[in-house]
Amino acid sequence: MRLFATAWWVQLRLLSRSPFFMGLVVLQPLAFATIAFFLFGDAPAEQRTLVVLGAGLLGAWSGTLYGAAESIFMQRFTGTLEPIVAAPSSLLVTAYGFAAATASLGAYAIAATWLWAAAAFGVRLHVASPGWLVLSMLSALVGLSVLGVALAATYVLTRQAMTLSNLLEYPVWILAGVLVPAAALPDPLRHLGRILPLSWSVDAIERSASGESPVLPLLVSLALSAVGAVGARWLMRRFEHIVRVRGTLSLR
Amino acid sequence: MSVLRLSAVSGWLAFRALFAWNTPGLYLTSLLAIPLLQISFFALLGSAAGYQDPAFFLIGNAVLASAMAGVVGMVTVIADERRFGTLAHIVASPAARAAVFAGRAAPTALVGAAVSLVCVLVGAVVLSVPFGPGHVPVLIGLLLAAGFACSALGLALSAFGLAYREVFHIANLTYLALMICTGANVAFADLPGAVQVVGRGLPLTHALAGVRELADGSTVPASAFGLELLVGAVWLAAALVMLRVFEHMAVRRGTTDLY
Repeated sequence: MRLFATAWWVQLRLLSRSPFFMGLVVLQPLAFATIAFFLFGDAPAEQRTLVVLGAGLLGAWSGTLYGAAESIFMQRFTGTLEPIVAAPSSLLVTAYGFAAATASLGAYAIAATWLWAAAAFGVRLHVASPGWLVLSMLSALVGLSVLGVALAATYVLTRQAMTLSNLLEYPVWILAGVLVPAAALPDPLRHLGRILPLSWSVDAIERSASGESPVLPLLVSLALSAVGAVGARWLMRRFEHIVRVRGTLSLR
Repeated sequence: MSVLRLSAVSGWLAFRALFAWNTPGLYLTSLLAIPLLQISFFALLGSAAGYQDPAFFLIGNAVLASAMAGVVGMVTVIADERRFGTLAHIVASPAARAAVFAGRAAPTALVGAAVSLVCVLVGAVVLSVPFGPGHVPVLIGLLLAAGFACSALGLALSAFGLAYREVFHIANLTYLALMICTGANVAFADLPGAVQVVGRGLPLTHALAGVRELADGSTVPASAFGLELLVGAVWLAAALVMLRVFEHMAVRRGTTDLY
């Protein structure tokens, strides 16, 4: 727990001081929310609420994606990846700390989008069940953390981390139904998106806002996150072994 | 070495150096895949909102794709020199720094225009947008003008990299501004007046209007080319001034080798 907390705190402070990263998690959701508000025009309050929440999650995913890649990339670039891997402490726990930090910054995204929507577009959030909404948001951040660890494992293996990050941003936004409603997707994409915990969290968030019961999608999201955690653990251990055998950790 | 030759050699070496850390396949994939994914995202969002048809977002985001190479790519030119520890050497060299960095704008402008062209043509086939063979030269001209203007803006922004370490967020912020203010995803006429004023001074706005006219089957006014080139020329002039100013600032502060 202490290792997790330390990794989380250090990464949170590092990323909070990065103008690039804060621009990503704060300004990018504002831009997408702005575009969405123009597109949806005089939509009802419920729709505008979903735009705010969706744009916030959009920033949370970007933060996780680039945060997971950035953390490993910077460790590799500065030559500290080898000591981290060689250290007797668990690389997996450290990675979870990093991923949780980036997911935590998703809270900045959601708060910033909410404030911007209120100030620039006069949007008032319409949420039937605030308590369930908070839990649904937390489940989304948990799912993002697990995905972040799986990505971090991949980035240990390859030097092309940042380029791969760029390719994963939009697909997850589309498949998870973030901002773009899942109902608007073709059936194959909608079914494919159901393997992502985030898509079930988005479902839970929508139900919390509308007053329907979010329990089922919430539980499915957490179950998928648990499965993902097992997979991330296997990936991390497998790739750690591979890079030790190949001796490629120090290569930029 | 003449200024033109210096620019050309610098541009070629910078383009070639891209593949020291990135494979051509992955580079090209990311160049094309990201704009196509962005087009898909906004086309789906627009459809869900009942705002415009998918072709609107195709054209907007395809033209916007030139901004990724032009603006973001150019900002990383100086930022990467700092990251790899070679910025101080360039600043200290007797070569004209403006020529060195301006030379790198040409590859990014051409790459940006090429990416936009591919996205427009692929999307046009998928969505049956009526671009005929006769439209292609006009389209290429508009996209080259857009690529030039974006690279000029990117060069101006990259000047900040001479004095400051953190400049990548400037590129991102600019890209987001182009996404909103140029009419790429929201019809230009639907934007607030103040935003339109800003948009007219940014790259892409005029070229995008021309491409939309082309897609509608109308004649593209010469002003679309002229205004886009004018915007690019103004940003290029600003870039040359900013490179001088920030280089002087960096030398005075001794910050060229800080990372």
